[in-house]
Amino acid sequence: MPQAVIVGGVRTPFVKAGGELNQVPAPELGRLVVQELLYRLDLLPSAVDELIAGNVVSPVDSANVARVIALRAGIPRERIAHTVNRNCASGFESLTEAVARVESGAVKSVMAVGVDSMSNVPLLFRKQFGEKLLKLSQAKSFGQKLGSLSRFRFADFAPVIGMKLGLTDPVSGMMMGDTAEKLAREYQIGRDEQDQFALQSHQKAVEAAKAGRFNEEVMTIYPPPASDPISADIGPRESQSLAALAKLSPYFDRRWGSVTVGNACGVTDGAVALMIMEAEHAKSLNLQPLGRIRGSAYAGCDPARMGLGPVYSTARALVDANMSLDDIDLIELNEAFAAQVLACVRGFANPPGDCTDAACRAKLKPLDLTKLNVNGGAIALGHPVGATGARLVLTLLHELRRRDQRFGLATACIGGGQGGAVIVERLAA
Amino acid sequence: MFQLIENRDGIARVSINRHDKPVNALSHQIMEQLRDLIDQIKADRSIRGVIFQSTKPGVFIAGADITEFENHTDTTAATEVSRFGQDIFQKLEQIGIPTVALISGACLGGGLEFALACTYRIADDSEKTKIGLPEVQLGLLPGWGGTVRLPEKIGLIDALPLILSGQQLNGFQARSRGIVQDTVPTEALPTVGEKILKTHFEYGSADRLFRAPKKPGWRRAIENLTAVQNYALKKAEQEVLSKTHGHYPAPLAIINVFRRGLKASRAQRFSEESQGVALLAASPVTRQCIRLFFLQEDAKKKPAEIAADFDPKNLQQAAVLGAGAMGAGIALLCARKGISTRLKDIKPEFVARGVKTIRELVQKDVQRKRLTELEATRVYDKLSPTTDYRGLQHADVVIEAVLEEMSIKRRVFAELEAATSSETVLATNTSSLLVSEIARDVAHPERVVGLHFFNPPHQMPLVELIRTPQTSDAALAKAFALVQRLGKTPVVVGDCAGFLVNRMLGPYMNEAGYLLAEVNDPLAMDRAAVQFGMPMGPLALSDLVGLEVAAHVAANLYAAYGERMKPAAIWTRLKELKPASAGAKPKLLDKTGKALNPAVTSIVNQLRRETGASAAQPSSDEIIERLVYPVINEGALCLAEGIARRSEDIDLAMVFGTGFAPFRGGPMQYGLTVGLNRVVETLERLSAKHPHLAPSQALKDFAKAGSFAKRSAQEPEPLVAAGAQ
Repeated sequence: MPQAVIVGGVRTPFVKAGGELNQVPAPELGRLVVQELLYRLDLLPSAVDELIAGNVVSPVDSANVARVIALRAGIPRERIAHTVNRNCASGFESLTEAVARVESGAVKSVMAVGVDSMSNVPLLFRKQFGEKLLKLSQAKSFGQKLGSLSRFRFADFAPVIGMKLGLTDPVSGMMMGDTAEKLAREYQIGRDEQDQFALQSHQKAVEAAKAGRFNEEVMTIYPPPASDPISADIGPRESQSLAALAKLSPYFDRRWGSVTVGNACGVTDGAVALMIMEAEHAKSLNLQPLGRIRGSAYAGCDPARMGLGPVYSTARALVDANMSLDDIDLIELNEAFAAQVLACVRGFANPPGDCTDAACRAKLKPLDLTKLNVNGGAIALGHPVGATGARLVLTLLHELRRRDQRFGLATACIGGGQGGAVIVERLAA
Repeated sequence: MFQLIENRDGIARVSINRHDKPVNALSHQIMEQLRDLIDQIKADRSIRGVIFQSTKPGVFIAGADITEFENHTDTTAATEVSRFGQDIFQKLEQIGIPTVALISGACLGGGLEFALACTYRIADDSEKTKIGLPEVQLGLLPGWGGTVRLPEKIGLIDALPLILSGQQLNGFQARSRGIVQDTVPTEALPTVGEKILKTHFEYGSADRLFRAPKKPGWRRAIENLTAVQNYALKKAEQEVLSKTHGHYPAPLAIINVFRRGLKASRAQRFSEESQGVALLAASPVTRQCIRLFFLQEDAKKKPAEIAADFDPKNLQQAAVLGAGAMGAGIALLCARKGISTRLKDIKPEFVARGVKTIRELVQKDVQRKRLTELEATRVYDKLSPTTDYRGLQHADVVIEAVLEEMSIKRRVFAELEAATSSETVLATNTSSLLVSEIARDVAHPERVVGLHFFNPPHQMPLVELIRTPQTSDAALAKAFALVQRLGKTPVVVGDCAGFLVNRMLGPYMNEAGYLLAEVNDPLAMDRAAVQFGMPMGPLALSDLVGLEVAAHVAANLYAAYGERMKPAAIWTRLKELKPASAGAKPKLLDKTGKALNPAVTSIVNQLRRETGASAAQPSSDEIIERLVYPVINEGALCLAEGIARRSEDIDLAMVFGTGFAPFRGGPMQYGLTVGLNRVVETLERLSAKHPHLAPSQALKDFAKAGSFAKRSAQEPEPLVAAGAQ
């Protein structure tokens, strides 16, 4: 059976939505990372057999953003491309699908992309507004026109914020932050503990950036209109302090809650590209693989407790890889909310009741916190939804190499009540 | 070329395809063919309408056959040619049945005049479709009814600038100006043609199929007022005179033809047009324009001396090192032509500067509607900025445009050698260093060439392609293909200080320094040069180039060529010159550009006091002799040394690289016009007082032979001889 390896990856700096990447829509972000990775690997665009992009905030002008990225990056038009959406794990999804495509023998190389421009979440108009507009355009006589004009109400003009819609789970009716509040209440995770975790995320990310640990994975971009170079993530704050975090008022449950914008991940723009190749093919091209996937899994859980997804999915991934949690040298657990990560830590130690599969339950045990998010996480770096999964794997592979370690786990909770987990093995030269 | 291929349902289809040539050009014989065809169609009662369509891809009718122009230099012959064409197109116009020209590809000059004589013109949306009357660029005017029919169709106010500039429009532009009735996708042309004729058969006109003209009726009425038209002509004349200083008779003749035509009958307007053509055909300016046109066309083809081939279409990837103005400009040129281009500089801030330059240039083109937003995105998609050497393995060509310093360039080339495959051509955009010196330590110097773009690269049409003694044919062919792909005019030259253009310009600029110290009124020098036909005088040019750069170039040339390029004393003294304001560059001329900077005057006076030289005031002719004859002398040396292949290359390079009086045909042609013996004698006379002006043996030899032709045609001369030192 063909074996897939990850031969390289690169990402843009992660930049707060509405910031310097405001004028860089998702297809352009994707084009930038794909071209840069091809140049870095000294490959022509024709070396890509297929492109799979994970993307959540679908750009309105690019229904299949993967295809747009592929064509704009110069990948030949006869190659195929499709977009995948598993919400917050779309970056995992593009990777695991790419691996499956290569291991099925269908293709020799797949560019897996994760991309989201949350600066470009569309503003929507209410349905009734659209219907009235349609009526107006169909009106023929002056009287009809006047009549349909008169039916507009002020409320019709108020736009619906797409971002708010996107971050609300339509099944449970809860916003993502509300699910974090729920976990905080149920697991009794206090505000201080959350803020402390958030601070650490910043401190670790700042230290990693200072030590140049992101240099290899982050490319420099020159976004319009200023064209000034951005070479590092904007999120991590050296000046972050417990005092500053404590000043923030709760965002979702304004009166009694504990989840603030300070202990939650930022809304962010960014893109990641990973090149997946069949192992022999990579060898023939003289490419040294970074690593490969040893196991992966997605798992469903209660949408109202979606933050616990990593617990369920990690257990399954360990079963899939036939490994134990002790084998794992490093863990990247996506920091959607500090409360959610801390809930997972507790969930690993004390599996939730609805995790009933015996094989899975057996895999769960307390996490070694020294292995967890050693270079900080989304609370500092940001969480461009579609890109995050691929970012976790990329950061993990580089850190494993730096530490000369072998196995890593990347896992994330998924809005809507799922978890995704990928276990990677670093391949040394 | 014109062939009736089908006659069905009363619709005759005529195919246009000249089998003996790559383009459809209207020769005398072909025009006769057309005349007979029109007669034949007219006699055939079964034909109720005609469709003309080219079956040659990329060209409808490219115009009159210019190769025949050389026979029409006398007034009578030229009038005859004009009348002959006018008569045939009038015959077409009066054929009595509707005619449709389906335009795809070049429809220029006589081609558009043909189309204008048809009842309907439909263009397509192809990139290759170019519609216009470019005769003025050859020093001519449209002589087959173009000056009559175009203003009839679109109004004089719109026709005048088109004919005066020779601008070429695409299908959409032609539609919005009203030159064609509509613009449709290429594949739709035949069915559209048929529909137009059938509608015409049914209703007596097919106008109901077309959108109403954009221009409102009241505006057309105003534009038709004679007073308004007279004013427009006057304005145009002023503009032409200020731009050309009266050196070019063609635009003035066009205005004149229009002016006389204002009150004339249609028949008279045709005869005004032929008279205008006759007048211009006999002009030496026209001959030089046509010669330059041929030289340029010729230069775009790879010279036979390059014994290798590379199809420009196969260029996929390029890289540019150095994101300064030149590097960014070159990278943009590549990206615009669809070549994936990596732009590298050493620091992100430097790269950012280049990215910014590129965005500004592209945005400007978007604002001026030269590019659509979509096309701009396609250009950006081809660019990838970086600060490292990764990704150059597949580059076809890497162009180095870093600082002009030998040690830096050598280091960059050593790094490049490691970063690229052996197939990659390594080019330097140096303007002052020897390419072979830069390539000294490169293990495979055969893949090193010089590609000297002129500043600003997106505007300047010339690229000097420098071949060192080591450069391989394969590398040269690839570099040549790149210049072709970029739509620039390449001139292959040898490796010497200043290469061809800057070396030739050296004596001119330097002599300006001598004159500056000698003459009473230095501004007379600039006036004389402009009067001679230069785009600007040497003093203004020094300011444009920058005194520091000019001094650097001068020192460089002196080191290479010795006494004849010894910088005039004034250049050294001008180093004391301070800029008018902080951050500005020191200038020779003051802000108005019409008087000398007072600080310069005092430096000149001081120099005169010290040397005891007295000021003189030579005539314009004497000034030109001193400025231009040394250039001819340098050209002779370039030829003798093999730096340039032939004198025509020198003329082309000087006209396109420096704007050297195009209507004089370039410096070498000018030397032939005044007589090489006279140039030699004058230089000998001048050298008594100014020893550096002594004519070279090479020039004397050419003067003796009476031409710059190679001494023996059989003897194959190397494209490039050893360097000049």
